[in-house]
Amino acid sequence: MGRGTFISAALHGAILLWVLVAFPSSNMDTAPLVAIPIDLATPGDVTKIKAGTKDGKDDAVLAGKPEEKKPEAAKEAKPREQTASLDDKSQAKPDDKKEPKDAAAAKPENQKPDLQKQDDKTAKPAKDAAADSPKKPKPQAKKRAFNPDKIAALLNKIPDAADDPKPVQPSDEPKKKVKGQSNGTEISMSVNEIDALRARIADCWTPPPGGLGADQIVVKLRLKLNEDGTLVGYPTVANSGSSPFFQAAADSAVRAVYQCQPYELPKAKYALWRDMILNFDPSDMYRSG
Amino acid sequence: MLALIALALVAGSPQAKAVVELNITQGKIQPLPIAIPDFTGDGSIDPQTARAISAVVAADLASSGLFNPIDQAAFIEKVTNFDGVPRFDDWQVVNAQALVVGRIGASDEKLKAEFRLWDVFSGKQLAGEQFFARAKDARRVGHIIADAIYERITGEKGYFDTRIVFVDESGPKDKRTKRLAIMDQDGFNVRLLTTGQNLVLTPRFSPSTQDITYMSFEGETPKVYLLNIETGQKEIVGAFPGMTFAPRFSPDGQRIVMSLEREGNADLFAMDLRSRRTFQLTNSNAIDTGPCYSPDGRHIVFESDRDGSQQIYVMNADGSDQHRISQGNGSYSTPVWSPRGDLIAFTKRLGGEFLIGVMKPDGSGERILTEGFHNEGPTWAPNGRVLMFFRESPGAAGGPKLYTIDLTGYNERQVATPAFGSDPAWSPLIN
Repeated sequence: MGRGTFISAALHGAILLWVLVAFPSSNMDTAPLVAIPIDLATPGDVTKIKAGTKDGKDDAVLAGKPEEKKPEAAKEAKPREQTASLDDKSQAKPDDKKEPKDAAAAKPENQKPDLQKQDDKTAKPAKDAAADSPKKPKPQAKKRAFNPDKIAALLNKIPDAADDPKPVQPSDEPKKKVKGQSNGTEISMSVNEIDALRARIADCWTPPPGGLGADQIVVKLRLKLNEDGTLVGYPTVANSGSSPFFQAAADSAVRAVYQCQPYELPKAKYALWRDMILNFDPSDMYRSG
Repeated sequence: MLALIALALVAGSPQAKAVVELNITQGKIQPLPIAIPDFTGDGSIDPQTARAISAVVAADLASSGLFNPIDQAAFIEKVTNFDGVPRFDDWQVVNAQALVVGRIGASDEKLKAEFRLWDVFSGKQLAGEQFFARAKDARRVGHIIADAIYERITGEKGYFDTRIVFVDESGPKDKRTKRLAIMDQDGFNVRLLTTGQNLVLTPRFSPSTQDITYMSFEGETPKVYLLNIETGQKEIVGAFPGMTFAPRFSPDGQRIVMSLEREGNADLFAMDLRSRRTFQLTNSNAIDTGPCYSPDGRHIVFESDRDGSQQIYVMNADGSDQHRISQGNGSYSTPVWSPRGDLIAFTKRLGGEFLIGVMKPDGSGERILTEGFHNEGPTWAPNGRVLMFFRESPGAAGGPKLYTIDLTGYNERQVATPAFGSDPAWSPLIN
C-alpha cells in the first residue's frame, strides 16, 4: 500500500506540474472575457423627426405660405363669416301657412361687433402666451388678425433646441438647408411623447356620430402652439369637403384642440411641436361602433 | 375602445417636413354636453312661452342620445342679451361644448323666434336663424330649432319636426277600441282621426305628410283606405274583390303597393294613384305581404312564406329578380327600408321572442337592436338613425306601447301616449 500510494502521489504531482507549465494562469483568465458592445436604443432614437425651419424649401405647403394656403383659407373663411350672421337659411322651415322667411333677419350692425369680439377671443391665447413667455416678441400679442406667416417668422427667432442634450449628429445632406434641419441640430419626439399627445387629444375629441358616407371623412387640422402649450390663433382646417358631415367633423376637431390646451409637451423640443398637423379620422370608430 | 397606436410621423416626402403630423383615429363616443339656458322673451310675450320653447329644444336633443343638455343649476352666466357674445369662459367651466341662446317675441300676432348656436371653445357662432310661426305652433318652433342644431352638430338631418301616425288602443284587452291617431314625434298634440267604430291597422304616411293610407274593416272584408289628414276625406284604394292589406306609398307618392288576398293566397300589387291602374308584382302560391319600396323607388322588400317560413325577399319594382335576403334562424317579417337606403329593419321571431333588428339590403350584417316578449312593427325616422316600434306587455292588463331605439341599440326610450299605442308610422320631415 505504501508503495502504491507513493506511485499515485508521484503521478498526480507530475500531472499537476505539467498543467501548471502548459496552461499559464494569464491564458486561463483572458480567454472567456470577450467584450460584446451593446447599444441601448430608445424608441425615440428610432423614430426621429427633425427640428424644422420656416425657410426650408419644401416647407411651403405645410407652413402656410400665402400662395399655397390661399385656396384653403378662402374656402374655410367664407362659411364662417356666413354662420356668424343670424341668417335665415334657405332651409329654414316656415310654419304651416308658409309665412315668408325674414331674410332681413340678418343684422349687419350686430354682426360686426360680434365678429370683432370673436377675433378678440381667438387672439386671447396669443396674448396670454406672450405674457408668460418673455421670449415672445410683443408685436404678436398686439395682433388681432391671425397671420400665420408673421407668427411663424417670430417664432423662428427662438433658438431651436438650444438646450438639447443630444450631440450634434451628421446630417444626411449637410450642405443643403432643408426643412427638418435646423442649426445642424437634430432632435426628436419620442414615441411615448407622441402617444401621450395623441391620447390627450383623443380624450378631448367627441366626433360626430357619423352617417352614410361620413366614414370617408378625414379632417386635416393645422395648429400652432406657444411654448406654454396654448394655441396660437385659430387652428386652420387644411382640407375641405362639401358634405355637411365634413363641417361637423371639422368643428368637432377644432373643439377638441381648443379644449385640450394647454398641451404639456417637452419645452426642450418646442421647435418640433410648435407647428402641428392633426389628421382626425373617425373611420375606425364608425366601423367598430 | 382603446386608442390604437397609429403613429404617423411625417415621412411622405424624401425630405422631412417641418411639423409633427399625427393621425387621431380615436375619440370619445359620448353625448355632446350642450348648454341651453331658458330662451328670453323680448317683452312682447309671456316669458313662460319662451322658456317652454327652450325646454322643447332640450328635450328633443336629449332624446336623440347624441346630446347631453347640462343642468341649468350649474350655469354661471345668466344670458340676458341675445345679441351679445356670451362669456365663453363661464360656459367652459360647466363643461359645455356648445351653447344655444334664443329670443322669442311676438310680431303681428305671429311668434318671432331667433336662436344662435355657439361653439364654446372656439367662440364661433355655428348657426343663427330667425323665423316666424303661428302662436299655436310654439312647440313646433322648438322642434325646428332642435333640428337645426342637430344638423349643424352632427352633419345629419334632424327628425324632430315630424309626426307619428299610430293606432290608439283603449278598453279591455278582449274588446279593444282601435282608432287612428296622429301626434308629434315626442308624443304631444295627439289627435284622433277615426271614431273607433271599425278596426284599423297599418297606417302609413305619404311623402307629402298630408295623406295616410291604412287598412280598415269597414264591411265584411278589410280594405285599404286613403285619408287626407287635413280635410278628413277618405276613399277606398282599388276596387278589388278580395281583401287588401299592408299598404305603403312609393317614395314619390304616386303609387301604393299592397297585398291582395284571393283564395288563401296573397300576392303583391302596385296601384298608380292617378290612373288607378294596378300591376301584379308577385304570383306565388304563398302569402306575399308587407311590401316596402327602397328610397330610390327601384326595389321592393317584402315578406313571404314561399320557402316554408316567413322570410324577407327583395325584388325590382316591376316584380322581377325576386330573391331571399334573410338567412338567419327564425322567421322574419315587417321589413322596412331605411330612408337613407343602407339598411332594412325587420321583426324577427326566434325562440318565442320578437326582436327588432336591421340588415343590409343584401341580407348581410344582421344586427338585433332590441329583444323581448313581443316587439313589432319598426318604422324609420326620416334620417334613418332612429326606429320606432311597439312593444306588447303580457298579462290581462298588458298592452302595446310605443318605443324608440337608435341604431346603436343603446338609446331606447318609451314614447308617451294617452292610452295603448301600436303600429306607428313615422312621417317624413314636415315641409
